[in-house]
This record gives sequence, structure tokens and C-alpha cells, in this order.
Amino acid sequence: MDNSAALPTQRKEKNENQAGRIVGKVFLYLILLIGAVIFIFPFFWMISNSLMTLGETITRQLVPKVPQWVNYKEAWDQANFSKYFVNSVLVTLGTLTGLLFTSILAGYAFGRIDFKGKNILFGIFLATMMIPESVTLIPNYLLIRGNIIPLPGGTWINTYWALTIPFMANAFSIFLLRQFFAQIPDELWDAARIDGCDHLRFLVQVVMPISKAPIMTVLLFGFTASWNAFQWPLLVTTRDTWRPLMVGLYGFVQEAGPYTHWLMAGAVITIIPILIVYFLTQKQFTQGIATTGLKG
Amino acid sequence: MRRTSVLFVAVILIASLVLGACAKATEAPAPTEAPVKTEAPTEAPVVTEAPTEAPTEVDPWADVVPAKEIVWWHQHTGSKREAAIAKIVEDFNKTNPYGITVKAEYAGSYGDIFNKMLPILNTPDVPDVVVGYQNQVATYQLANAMFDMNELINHPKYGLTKEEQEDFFPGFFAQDVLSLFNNQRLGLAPNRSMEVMYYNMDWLKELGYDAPPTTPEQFKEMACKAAKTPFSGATEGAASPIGYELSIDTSRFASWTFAFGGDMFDYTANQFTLNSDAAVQAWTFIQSLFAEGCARLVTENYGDQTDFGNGTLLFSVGSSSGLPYYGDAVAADGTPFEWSVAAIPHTTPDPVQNVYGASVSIPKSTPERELAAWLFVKYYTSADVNAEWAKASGYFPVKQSVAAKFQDVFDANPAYKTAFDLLKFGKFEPPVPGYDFVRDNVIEPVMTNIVDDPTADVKALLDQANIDANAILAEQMAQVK
Repeated sequence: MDNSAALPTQRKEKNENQAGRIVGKVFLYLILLIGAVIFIFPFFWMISNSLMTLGETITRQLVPKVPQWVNYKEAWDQANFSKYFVNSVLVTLGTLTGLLFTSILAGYAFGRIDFKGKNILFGIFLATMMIPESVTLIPNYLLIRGNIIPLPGGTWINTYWALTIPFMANAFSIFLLRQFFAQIPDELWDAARIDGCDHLRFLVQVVMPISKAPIMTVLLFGFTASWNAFQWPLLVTTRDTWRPLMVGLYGFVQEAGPYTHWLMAGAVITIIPILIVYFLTQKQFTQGIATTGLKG
Repeated sequence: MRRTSVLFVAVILIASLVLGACAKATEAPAPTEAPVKTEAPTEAPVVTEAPTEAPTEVDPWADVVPAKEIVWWHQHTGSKREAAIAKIVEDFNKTNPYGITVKAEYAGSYGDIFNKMLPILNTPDVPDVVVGYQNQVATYQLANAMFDMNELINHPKYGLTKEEQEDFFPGFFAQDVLSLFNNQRLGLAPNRSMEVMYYNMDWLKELGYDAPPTTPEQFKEMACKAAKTPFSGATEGAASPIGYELSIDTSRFASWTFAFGGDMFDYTANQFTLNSDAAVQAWTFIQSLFAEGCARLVTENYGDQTDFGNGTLLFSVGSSSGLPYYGDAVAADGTPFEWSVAAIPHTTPDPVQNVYGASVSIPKSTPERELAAWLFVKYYTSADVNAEWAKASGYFPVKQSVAAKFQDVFDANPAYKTAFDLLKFGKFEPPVPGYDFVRDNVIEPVMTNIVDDPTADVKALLDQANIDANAILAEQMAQVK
């Protein structure tokens, strides 16, 4: 058998395959690069505008001639950020504490305990996810004002409770945790029972430690929602006692136009905590999305 | 299967609960719901009281002691304005002889305040003083929820003197007297803005003109010439040159209609007049600017400021509150051109300028709260305080005597002075309930149709718009309580 003719052909095929792979990779990286630019550009635009003069933002310059670092100080002072930042932190912490408490308990109950009417109740929970937020805004407002049921203190308008309690239970978080808890093998529960565990101890000592990923996901979603909340705080606060950051940012938009340079400087300031939380939890967040079968 | 059925029943149950809850939530407060019947606007059964009848033999305010604490909802943000508000309130709290304490509260934008007010009208939860546009306050009054200031404005003890009343620019003073509600006064103006024409003087000179246009014909000639002759100082890479950019905004509709000698509303018949001869002429004129390539639409919010600053737009019509923005835009690249503002080119002997602005109003509560609120409104709109507020806010003052205190402002900002001198020519948009719907759903679509289609029949479009606008008005007035 003469292999001398086959060798160049094989080499040629190999070279072609390599070339094809290289072209494929180049194409892939090109697409990824374009995607990265598309995602990064808004951040670049935000930071660039935060360093411009008002005139430069109005005339749509791409980069500032002279960076106006003073915009950050002015934005901080103009929008009373020192006060609103503390408010946002306290509101977010309170909301997250309540959210984790209710979501873990309810998720566990739906995922691991059999009780009468469980599926119907869970269906009702899921149904609440289908209602647009704008539909529930006024009923929730009336509830918080004490028009529907009497509240301690009469009305919760302008209080910490109005900003936190309505968001301490969330159907999506319960659903997400329920999906994960339901997948935990029954053998673990059986073993725990033999060791004398009840549900609460099993939840705290077994389920929660192995559920860091979905819990972190709930935490991240809850943090982002609470930190970025705008419409509800605007509705239920008329004084700046509990006004959060996002409402402060709104002050840079006037009827004749926005103060884009301060608005963007304020946006950079407000986004920093979200980035920190995201970088700290991104591993668990990705795992949480993967293990609960959710897709973005 | 059984599981599916149970889930289905559950979903139906939830849906019915949700729908029920929604219906309940919207039934109570919203005065903008579909009306049951329509009535002629003038038949509205509102409480009437002639201004001069208030202090008759028995003074209803004689034994009323002003409330000690009142709340004011406003929309002012930004450290300068908020600081000015805080100072005004602090001064009032310290100096008023009645011991009234005002608590000023930022309650969101005009729209937010409107939405917050609707569910609490005629309840003790209303603020004592509230900022609002005339049409928003007119909507509140559908529920008979606002205090008629005529009861106090001429009161011998608490009212305004004749001189104080005459010190207001007449148009501003009249703006809050609502003909639809038997001329009740539902507000008092603390500040105003006005639609003006911004122009690039250096470009005009390059085109061979030494002054801005005063008539529509001159405006068209200059705008068309500019569209073909770029400005030498234009920013490289910016948009192509154009004479005029129109933003689809009902205030522009009003401005051009007023400038052609028309009005949007007949205050005797209490009906919209969107199809007046003047409106048809004005919008045929604008249509011709577009058809001949001399004008284009503003494609993004405040895009006219951008193009004006870049030297690619010769004329822009917008609110005088945009003066600082235009100034900064022009100065952005370090080589500012000469620019200013002028009256909108008109066919009338004198200019007719569209003025607007929110007023301060008093929701109905108790006589004690209403009186305290009035005393604060009176203070807030007094000449000295008005001057202080106008300087801090950048708005125009509402008192004519303030001009004497404004020389420093005029010297620093000649464009502001030019606009200030036009205030006496002010005319306003209809202060009627449902005007927001008319603006958004009737007038603005018609404006788009007119400029998008050079063959569109302007008269026919405005005739239909007028019918639609009056239908909305009738629906609103049918809800008067």
C-alpha cells in the first residue's frame, strides 16, 4: 500500500480543519467583542457624561474636554445623597432580612412538606407573578395608608415600614427556592429524621448550607430590586425622612431638561454597591440560576 | 388531569379576585373614569360665590382661627430651589403673626402629585397647599374638592389689596379663574414660564439678516435659507443644517396658534376651538415649512437644544426655563456664538406669547386649615418673596413691580430680560379638566399627521380634533359633583 499520496491529503485536510477552527474562533471572538462593546458602551457613556459640563452633555460629546471631577461632589451635595444613601442601605437591609426569612420558610414548605391544598396555594402564589406591578400600585398604596385594614400607627406613609414590609415576601423568590428545595434527595431527610431532626432543624442545619447558591440569587435579586426601587418610594414618601437614593436622583430631571452630568455622576455613585454585591455573589448567582433550572 | 383541573379552577379564582380588587381600587377615587352621561359644561352644578360677596353682613371668617400647622406639597428639587423654598417657609414660620407653621414636602413631579391627590380628595389627608397645573386642579374640582380663593382674596382682613392684585401680570392673575366652574379662583400663580423663539444671531448675520424675524413670512424665508446654507461655526460631524425643529408638544401647537391670532378655547361657550381660522393658518404654515425642507421634527427629548448648541439649528421654540440649557449648550465647545430669544413670529399687531406654569392651590379641608393655607399663599406670592423665589428658581416672577428688583438679573442675562419684557403679551392654554388627554391623545397625533404628510388636509384634521377634544371635555364635565 502506498501511503505517500495519502499523507499530503491528510495534512491538507488537517490544515483545512485548523484553518476552519481558527476562522470559527475569530468569528466567535468577533461576536463576543461586539457583544462586549454593546454591553460596556452604556457604562462608558455614563462615566463619560458624569465628567462633562452640562453643555457637553447637551451637545452629545463622546468624551469630556476637561474631566469635571467636581460633578461627583456637586451631585452628592445637590441630591442630599449623604442622607439618602443611609436611607437606601437601611431600607435594603430591612427588606432583605424579611425577604430571606419568608422566602426560605415558604419555599421549604412548598418544596418539602405535604399539606392539604399545597398545589392550589402554590398556584395562587404563582398567579400573583402574572399581575403587573402598575395594577397593584394604587391598591397597595391604599393598604399602606390604612384605608383597607387598620394599621398600627394609623398610616404608614412616610415610614420605614411602607418601604420595607410590602417587599418582604416575594412570589418569585419563593418559587425559586421551592424549585431548589424540592430537588434535595429524600434520603437526606430520612437520615436527618433518624437523627431526630424536625423540619426546622433540617432546614437550618442541612438544607440552608447546601442552598447557598439559590439563597444568594434571591439575595442579589432582592438587593437590586430594593436598591433600585423608585416608583413606590416616590409614592409613599412625601418628606425626605426615608427618601432613598433613586428618588434623590430624580431631582436632577427638571421640566426644561435633565442635568445629565449630575444625573450620571449620581448614577455612578448609586451603582457602586450593586457592583460590589454582584462581584461578591456572582459565583453563587450563576450556580443558583443553573441549579434551579431558571434561564435569564 | 385532576391536578390540571384544580390548577385551572385556582387560576380562574385568582383572576376573578384580582379583577374584583382592581375594580374596587379604581372605582373610588379616579375622576377620570368613563362618565355615565354627558352634560353641557356650563350646566355644571358647582358652588358659586361672587368674589365681592364674601365679606357681607356676616363674615364667615370672623371667628376662624388659622390652623397651627399646615402641609405644602411641591415638586421643586435641586439644592438651589429647595434651599429657596426652605428659606421662604422658614421666614413665614418665624414672622407670621398667627403662629402658623408650614411644612414643605417634596411630593414628586407634577404627575406624581396629581396621582397622589386623586385618591385623597375630600379626605382629611389632603395637603393644605398643593402645586398643580390649572387643568389638574380643574380635574380635582370635578369632585368639588378645591377651595375657591374668591372667598378670601377680597377679604378686608385677610385678602389682597387692589394694588396687590393689580401688581400681578393680568394674564397670570386671570389664569386660575376657571370659567368652567363659574369663575371660581382655584389657584394663585407664584411663577411662570413662557414659550419663546431661540435664534442664532451669528448665523442670521451670515445669511444676510441683522435681526430675528417678527412675521411668519420672514421666519420661513430665513429658515429655508439656513437649511441650504450651513453655519460656519457648526460643530463638525453634527446634524445637517435646518431652519426650525418642531417638537411634538401641545404647547408648540398653542404657541403658533396664538401667534396667528387664535385661541384654543372659547371661554364664553366653554368649548375647544382647535379648528379656528388662525389655527388652520398656523398649521398650514408649519406644514409648508416641512414640505419645503426648511423644518424637521425633534427626534429625541431636548434634541433641539443639542442641535442649536451645535450650530445646526437656526430657530427653536421652547420654554424660557430652558434658557440656562441653551446657554450651556452654546458655550460647550469653547467658541460660543451670539444667540438670544425673541417673540414667536406673529401675524397680530403685538406678539402673543404662550405662558404657563403651575399655581398653588388649596384643597378643601376645614376653615381653619383653609385660612392658614391662604395666608401662606398670600405670603408666597407677595412681591418681595416673589422676587426672591424667581431669582432662585430661574422662573419668571408674576408681579410687575419685581422688575425694579431685577436689574442685576437683567444685566447678567440679557436674554432673560428680553423674555421678561414679553410677559405682558401672555396668553394661556385651556385650564380645563381632561386637558392632558386632549394634549396627548388628540392634539399631538394631529400635529404629527400634519407635518408628516404635506398633502394632509389641515382643516379637516383640526375639525376632527376639535370634535374629539370637546367630547373629552363633555365626558369630564359629566362627572362634576
